[in-house]
Amino acid sequence: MKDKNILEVNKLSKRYGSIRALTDFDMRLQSGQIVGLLGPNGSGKTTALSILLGVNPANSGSYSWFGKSGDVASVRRRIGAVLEAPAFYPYMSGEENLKIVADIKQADYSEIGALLETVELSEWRKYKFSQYSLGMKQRLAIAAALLGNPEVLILDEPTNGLDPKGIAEIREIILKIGKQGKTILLASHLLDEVQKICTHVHILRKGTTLYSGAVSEMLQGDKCFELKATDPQKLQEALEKIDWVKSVRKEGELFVATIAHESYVDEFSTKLSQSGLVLTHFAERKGNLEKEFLKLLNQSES
Amino acid sequence: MNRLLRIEIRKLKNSASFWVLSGLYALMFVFAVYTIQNFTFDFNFNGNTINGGVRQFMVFPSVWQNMAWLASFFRILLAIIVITSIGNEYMFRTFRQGIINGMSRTEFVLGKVLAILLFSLSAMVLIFVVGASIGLANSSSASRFFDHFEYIPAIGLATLGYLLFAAVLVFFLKKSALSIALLLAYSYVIEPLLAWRLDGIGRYLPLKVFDRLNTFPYKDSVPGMNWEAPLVYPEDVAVSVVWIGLFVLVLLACTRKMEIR
Repeated sequence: MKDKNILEVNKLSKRYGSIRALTDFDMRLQSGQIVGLLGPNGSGKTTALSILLGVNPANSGSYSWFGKSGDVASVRRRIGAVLEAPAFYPYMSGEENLKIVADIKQADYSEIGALLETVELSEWRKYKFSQYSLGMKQRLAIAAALLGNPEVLILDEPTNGLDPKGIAEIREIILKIGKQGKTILLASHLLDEVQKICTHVHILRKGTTLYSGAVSEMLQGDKCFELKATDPQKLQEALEKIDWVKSVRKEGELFVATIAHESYVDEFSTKLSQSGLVLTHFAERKGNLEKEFLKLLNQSES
Repeated sequence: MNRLLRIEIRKLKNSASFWVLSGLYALMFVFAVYTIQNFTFDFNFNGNTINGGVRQFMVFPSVWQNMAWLASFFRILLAIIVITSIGNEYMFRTFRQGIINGMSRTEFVLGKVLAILLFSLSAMVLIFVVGASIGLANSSSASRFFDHFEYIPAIGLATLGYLLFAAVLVFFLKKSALSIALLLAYSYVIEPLLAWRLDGIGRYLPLKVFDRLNTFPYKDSVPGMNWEAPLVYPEDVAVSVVWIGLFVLVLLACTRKMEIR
């Protein structure tokens, strides 16, 4: 089950006039993965998703869901997706709206009650969609996406425009769903969100892929350490003497040193203790997706 | 099929504008019929004085044509229901979401066509019920009940064609107000002008053909005139069916490859 191919995308391209919205987009989604589709606004995330969901034909390339190639409606019923803003009939109640989605997905109405419970909208089910707050609309959209117990969930900027409380609620729901073993594709421009939730990441910029792989691999490479010693002067000198320490900078009381590769980690601590330092703090700083992301963007810029 | 219709009906039954517009259609039609039947007239035609009451035409068999003709005045209300129900799908982006949720484009179009079929059938049933009750009330006997009954299916067909034409407009234009405006402009200005310029084939333009299925019933109604009663001509029925088929095909074809925003 773990390695089951959910989605395979092969060189999708889309142009709007002279603008290339998406160029040779390749992607794979395997069962159980939580993949982040990351990129600044206008980088082609929504274009890619709208092609994969059959609302926007591509100029070239191909894709297949569950091994079935192209625009197949029955396949989309196994996917729960929210693209951009939630789209419902504003004059209808949340519950009635979900009944329409259930009919489309050929799901049972009996699922609706529990789903409204999951997204905490039970009390609001009889209210019109137009009366909902943005957060409630977003939660209804997630409930709709979960109807019919889909194998894959696609969420496009699910926390866009929400207040901090709303953001926290949505993230909690996504994590809860992820724990149930569902495959999730999360498009976002929020790195923090992707880092917290996703196992894999696919980075887009101006319609081209900059990086695709596991989040952990992306964060490898440079290792960052925080250090503090009784004698800061001596610490700085010691750090500067080691040739594979790439950079040293001071953040308040702390020194932050970057070493070239993780194979130096053991040597690092022995070297420092040999120089007679008394370290009061020595900790690895977790890689930061934001930094890596900006680095990638900058690389492609130059 | 069932599923598509169930989806459309749920959208409609929750919509206040649907109830208002369809209620208005039924009420205005019934009101018009019951008011007009009390009218009397007195005028001079070719030296003959013609007088009487409209009620005398509200009998079998001419009642069917009269009903069909009167009902066609109010069809714009049904067209507004069709246009807004499709325009809304673009505006609310529910067309797009419906496809994402697992409808095919064909299914989406067929759902709308089924709803239009339902409107046309309901309108036809209403016209039949009103016609039957008023005919029975005014006729001395029901022996000619089914004479010229073909006007009832004919108005059903004409309504279907007209509403599908409206659907084609809004599927292309994507905006309700624009589509209603264009429908009115086309019905009252563009097509009459086209028909006039296209002498000969102009009579086959869609709304012209649909209109001939429910023409003004004067030939049949005015006493003392020895004109042949206008019938529902098989040619008009055939051309209408061709237009209807064409509209459905155009809807299916035009939505097939388009980007749905």
